[in-house]
Amino acid sequence: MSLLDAPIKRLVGRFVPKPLPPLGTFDGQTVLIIGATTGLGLAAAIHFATLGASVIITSRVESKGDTAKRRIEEAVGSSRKGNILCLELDLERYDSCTKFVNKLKSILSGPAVLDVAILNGAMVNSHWEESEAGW
Amino acid sequence: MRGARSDRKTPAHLIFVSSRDHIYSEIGPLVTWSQQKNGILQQVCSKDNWDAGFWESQPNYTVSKLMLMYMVEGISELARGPDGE
Repeated sequence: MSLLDAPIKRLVGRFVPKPLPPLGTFDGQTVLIIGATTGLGLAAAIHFATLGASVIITSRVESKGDTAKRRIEEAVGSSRKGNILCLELDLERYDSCTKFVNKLKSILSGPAVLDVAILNGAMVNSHWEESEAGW
Repeated sequence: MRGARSDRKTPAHLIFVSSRDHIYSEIGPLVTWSQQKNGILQQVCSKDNWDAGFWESQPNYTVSKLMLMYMVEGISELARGPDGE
């Protein structure tokens, strides 16, 4: 492996996506994606749903979550096998995190049901701001 | 997910999404902050250490990614089973 391998792969990867697994790869599986209303999270949710999974997405704002859920359902179409569910979660608030986990536990029939958890939620601020919790 | 290991036929997957920018973080300030009031986390969040400028619109981005990698390592260690896997 030369020093140029990694940057070349990174450059090529921007234009030539890796092929997806075969349809049905995630049939019957449950995938959780934190932060799936836009961007990478939303794209991943659509792919997992297309590949057969039931997908649980999260959103800070209910309306955005509903919009994302609709976009995933429309993108996958009638061939969708799993369910799409949106739960509320605000990573800035500890009480929201604990409430989310309790809700998730009540929805899943057991801890072994969750097959994939993708922790994708994040935000970037261009200005300094203090959260309610003081961070 | 760890607790359900014996109930599953195949391993569950926990995926963290980050960027490569943790490798660009400067360690020097972290050493100093670790010895100050309330440690690194408090100092990273402090307005006094928000070094934004024309060329740096997200001054704590790389540090936040470094903190994330630290957390990923910690969780990975917790996820290790009795067989070390």
